[in-house]
Amino acid sequence: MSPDIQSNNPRKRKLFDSHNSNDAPNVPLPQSQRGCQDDVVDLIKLQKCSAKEISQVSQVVDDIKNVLTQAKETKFASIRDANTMFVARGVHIPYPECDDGIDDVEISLPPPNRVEAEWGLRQKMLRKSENKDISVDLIIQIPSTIFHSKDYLEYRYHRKRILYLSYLLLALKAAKQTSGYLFLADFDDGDELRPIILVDCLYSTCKIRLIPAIPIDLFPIDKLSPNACRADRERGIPTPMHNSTIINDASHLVTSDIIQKYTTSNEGFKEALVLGSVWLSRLGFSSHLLDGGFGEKEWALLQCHLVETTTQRAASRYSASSDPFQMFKSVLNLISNIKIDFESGTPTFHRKHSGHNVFFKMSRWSFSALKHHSLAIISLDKLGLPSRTQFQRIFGDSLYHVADITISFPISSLEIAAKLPANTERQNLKHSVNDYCYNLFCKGLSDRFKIITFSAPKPPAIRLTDSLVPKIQHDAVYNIVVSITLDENRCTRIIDYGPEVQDTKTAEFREFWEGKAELRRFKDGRVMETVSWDAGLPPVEQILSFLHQKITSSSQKNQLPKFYGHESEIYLTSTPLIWPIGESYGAAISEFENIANTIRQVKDFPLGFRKISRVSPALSFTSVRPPSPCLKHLGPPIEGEIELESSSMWPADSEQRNRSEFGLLLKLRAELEASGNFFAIRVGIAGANGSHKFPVSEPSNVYCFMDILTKRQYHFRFRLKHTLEVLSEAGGMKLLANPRPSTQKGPTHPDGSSHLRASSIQRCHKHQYFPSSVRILKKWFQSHLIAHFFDEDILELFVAIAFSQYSPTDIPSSTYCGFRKVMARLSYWDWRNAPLEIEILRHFIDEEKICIRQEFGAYQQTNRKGEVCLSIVLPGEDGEVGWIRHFIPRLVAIRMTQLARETHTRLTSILTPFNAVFKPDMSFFDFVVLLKRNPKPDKTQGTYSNVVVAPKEFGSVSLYREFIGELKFQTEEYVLLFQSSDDLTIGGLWKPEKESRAPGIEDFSSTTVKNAVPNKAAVLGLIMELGRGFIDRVGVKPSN
Amino acid sequence: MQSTPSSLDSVDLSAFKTLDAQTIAAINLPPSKVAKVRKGSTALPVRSNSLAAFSSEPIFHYLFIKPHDPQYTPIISAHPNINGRSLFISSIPFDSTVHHLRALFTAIGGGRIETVIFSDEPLPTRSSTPDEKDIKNKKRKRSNLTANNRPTAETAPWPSLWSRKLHPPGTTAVAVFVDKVACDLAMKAVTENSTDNPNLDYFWGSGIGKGNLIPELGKTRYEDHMERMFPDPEWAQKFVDDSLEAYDNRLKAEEEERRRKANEPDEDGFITVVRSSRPRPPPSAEEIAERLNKEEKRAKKGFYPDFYRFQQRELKKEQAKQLLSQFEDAKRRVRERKDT
Repeated sequence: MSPDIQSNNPRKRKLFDSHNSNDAPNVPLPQSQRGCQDDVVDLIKLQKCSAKEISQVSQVVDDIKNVLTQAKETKFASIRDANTMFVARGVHIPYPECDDGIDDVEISLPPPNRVEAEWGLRQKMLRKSENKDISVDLIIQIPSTIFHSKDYLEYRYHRKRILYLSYLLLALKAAKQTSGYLFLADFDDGDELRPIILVDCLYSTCKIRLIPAIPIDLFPIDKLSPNACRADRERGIPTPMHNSTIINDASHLVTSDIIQKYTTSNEGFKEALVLGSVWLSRLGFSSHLLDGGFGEKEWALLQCHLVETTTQRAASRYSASSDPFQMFKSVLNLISNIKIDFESGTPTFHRKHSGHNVFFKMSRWSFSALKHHSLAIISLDKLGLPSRTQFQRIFGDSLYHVADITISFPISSLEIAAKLPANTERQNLKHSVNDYCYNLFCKGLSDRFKIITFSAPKPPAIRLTDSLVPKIQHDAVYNIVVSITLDENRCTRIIDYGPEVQDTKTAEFREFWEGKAELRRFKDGRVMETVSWDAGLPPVEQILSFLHQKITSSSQKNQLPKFYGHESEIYLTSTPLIWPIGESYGAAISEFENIANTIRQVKDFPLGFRKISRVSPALSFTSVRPPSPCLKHLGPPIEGEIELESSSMWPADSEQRNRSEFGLLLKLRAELEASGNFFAIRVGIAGANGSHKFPVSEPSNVYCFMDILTKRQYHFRFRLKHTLEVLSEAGGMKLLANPRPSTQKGPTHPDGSSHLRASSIQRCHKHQYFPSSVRILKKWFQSHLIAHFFDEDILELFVAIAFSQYSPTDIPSSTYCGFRKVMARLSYWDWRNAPLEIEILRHFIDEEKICIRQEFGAYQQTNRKGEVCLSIVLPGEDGEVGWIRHFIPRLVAIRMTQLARETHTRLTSILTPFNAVFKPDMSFFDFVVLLKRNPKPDKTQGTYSNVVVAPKEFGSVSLYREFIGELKFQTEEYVLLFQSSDDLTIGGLWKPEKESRAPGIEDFSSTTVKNAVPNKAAVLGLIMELGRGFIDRVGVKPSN
Repeated sequence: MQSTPSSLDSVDLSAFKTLDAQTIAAINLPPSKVAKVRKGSTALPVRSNSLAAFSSEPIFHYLFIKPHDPQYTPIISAHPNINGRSLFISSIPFDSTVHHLRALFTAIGGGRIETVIFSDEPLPTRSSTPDEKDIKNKKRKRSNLTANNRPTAETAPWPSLWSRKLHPPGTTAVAVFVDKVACDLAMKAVTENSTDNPNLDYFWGSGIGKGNLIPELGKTRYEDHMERMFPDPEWAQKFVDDSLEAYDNRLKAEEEERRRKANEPDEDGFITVVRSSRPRPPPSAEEIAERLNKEEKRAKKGFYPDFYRFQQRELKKEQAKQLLSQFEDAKRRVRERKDT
């Protein structure tokens, strides 16, 4: 059997894959897999501590080990005496009061049998946390002699455990080796019954957690099943958490030994552990009860299970593997196949022999979130994405998961405790509150959500000093943060259907929805309980407000919850948008269609109309401002395009074609005027892009258009598009499109990628939050005065990144989520070294990626000076790859990245108001020019001796755009101008002075002779001259 | 309709100081900081009052002037006799006109300018001498068939969209003086009034005669532009009609030229082969019948299965196989008969 066939067998694979094995055939791995392994190594390098740090930590751990193992045995007549002694000597570890009834029991505290550091330290693969702290677990085995065989009952185990911890702390405090360290009290995974000691050392960058453990065979496992009542027996209800914590403590050392064994014997095991812990921490999961109760320890157990269960016969795709990334996916597959136990309502996965439920700390909410994320990654694998691509999608994105809506509100844990069911355990109240809230949110949102996660403040570690007696601090009122990922297809449903009227569940439905519930009769005769929501506001927002009222007490009802990703809040930043999007866009689109129908009905036109298409973003719901009626022709027009049938009769030279177009538009105008359907129609001519550079008399620098003002005062501008049929020499028919000088700013794209661009954007439009995400991104670009450097299509493609199905994240179901994902991607896009890959229609295969890298590299070498090229690459059908290259000034590209990073960082904190990221930082500019808001028309138009002509009105927008266009052209050598969306503010940056060509070059054909001595005052003078009558004031930064 | 908040309301401009005499002085480049001669050109500081609204102090614009040595062929061909009486000026202001430069040189005591050639404007056409015509004709013979030299429509130009043309940055000018003396005088005046002696009290744009009307810049200019974008429909219709008529005429003339060439041998005795423009006469009844017959025959004959050699080989193989099978059949039948 060839090695690659039997590679699913870990033992065999180890033999063949081992790089150190001399007898193994050196089978080269496929390129994609090798690439992924490189990426894994790089990621681990970034995550793990340096050798110096590890040696420092090892030294501290050795010191502590020595102190603990050499501690003297202490005997007490009773536990009460022991407590008194410890308190007297300044040792008091906070612990909840429990009626254990063992105060008078005699106890002897010997030194620990065994002290073991976690595998990471032993394998020299310690991982730093997100905030660069190092945490090491030191497991201390409590000698079994201090326990009685029935100590698993009534908190006796926990009481003796705390006593032993006090004994250890006293030893540490007394020892010279550990005298400089700081000792704190915390809880093991947030469980109040199991305190631990934190040793703070190395200038607070390293924390060593002293975790007490017991031998595996100390208590009988069958006595600690989750449905047994072992504490508070007078209540007689099962205590699953109490029981599981004892089993968990008993399995600490066993687990540690197994992990240690597999890390040394199984290749890729420890790397997969690191991958798992990175993935979990990025999603916010940890072993802490309030973080979901699933962390790296639980992950390691699942990995061990996979290794134990993978045999040569039972090997499958998702078995244990020597490839770390494959192992990582196998664990995720295992998680995705675990189901919630109906009886207990919690997930269950018992370790073989030990009876330890790996998921005992998890709640329904955290498990469903974990399962959802796992399934998302497995689905990537099933879509056939190359391994390396999958890895980059999962670990390359720093902002892995963004919730669609985040709601934060104060909650009283005591009030909720009163509402909790009787079988709830008394400890870890916040954990129970989360569960209560989840049930409520589940019921309220029904199928509108995919994931709900909760975040509550964790109690800080308590400093253990001699003088103070610390106490457990319970937050009576705290802020709970609920993050919700919505289902994009269901979240906007405005009616919730309840049971039919004769159903027994009607009363329950009415009790939950209170006054909101109403009976409705449907067409099919059924009478049902329903809840209908106001169509003018997002239903999820209304439901959340209702649930907030239900959860919070009367005293907190007046405090409104804070929403992040709140639709209304987003739209506030781009007034006058309203929810739902509809009407203003709809009105303009219907006007456009009316015009299109009228044009199609025109008879006797020389050429047929092939297509009348919408060009303006206002007609595709993606303009920041919705289209609005305007007085006369004063507003900016909404653009459309009339495509004529192709013909061989078009003149060959472009100048004559322009004139023919002009003639056709005049003819069309005459026909439309005759129809009498419109208020005014006029045909105009304008200079194409850069019309200030070239005289309008030159061919191809002029274009014609037709303005139509409808009776509802919508102003449209149409351009003609046609194709010239040319009989080529090869004998075939060629079609030449007319060169269309864009009326929009920005460069045009090569035709090769235009259809890919259009189809990618069109595919994204099927997602209902795509247009609003585009609007908010455009708003952001406009707010920071950089929108005019980008084409509308480019911005839409930026948003398309967030709507790719080839990503482990969900499709955004809120504008906020879409915006944040785009910001995250832009913030780490290195446009100097890589193109932006937008995989909408399909994903790239490995060979294509190599080609893309090569082509990108080749292109970057021929880059223009002073400008950078933002490359976007799109996959098409049949292996086609489309490139879009957008040239912008380097300063603008840098500014975009800086702003995206800033926005991304600021929005990571939920305390940042959303509007704050839209506030422009004008101090970036060297000077600023403010234009008059309403330039008043002159009293007379021109000077005549015999007649006074009434002033004509022109829209200030059109005038300002012409002015700014010319200003940019005249000053491009010295300044970079940034205009605001309303054209009233212009920010200016002085370009760095460069050695320009000397005057005196007499090449008259060249226009590149530069001004050798730029005078900033003269440039400002030029601005004032050109903008005479427009400029309100000019501000200059004093440092300049 | 709710009005959108203006950017003026939301922007924080506390980092900026309104333009005043102090800020202008800080960014103004005084003549003392500009070298008198830079790469062969003499700097001439010209005062401008474009920021007079903020400060009484003038700001300076620097022209770089040197004697012109015409090497660029189109200039020589357009103005053959300018050698020695022209100055080359670079870094001209965007709003320069011939009147501005005339007024400037008058103010500094230079000679009288005959004309100014701006690099961004087309050079005037000049009737060529008989010798030049010969050269042009010879050249044309070699290249007259290139597509790029095809004439475009000789029609009226598009209406100008701007009342006043501004020069793009980097535009240079050649000031042609009436004679060499005037040119020398001007250059001397430039040298005297350069950055080492910036006492010239002349402001750019002043001293232009009242008869020389120069349209105003700023708002009026843009309003005028908006007005020009929409020409009168009647005028536009006439413009289009004229254009199309001229285009038709041009096509006809080209066609005639082509036909003429088809009958005339060139200098080397060749007749250029061109596509015939004569329409083919409609086919007669006999021709149609003959064509139909041919098609019918072709349909009957099929696809010529024995045209290629491999087809012939395959045909022979097929026939051999058939013979063999017939022989086998015959043998079998003989055997059966013998058995019976």
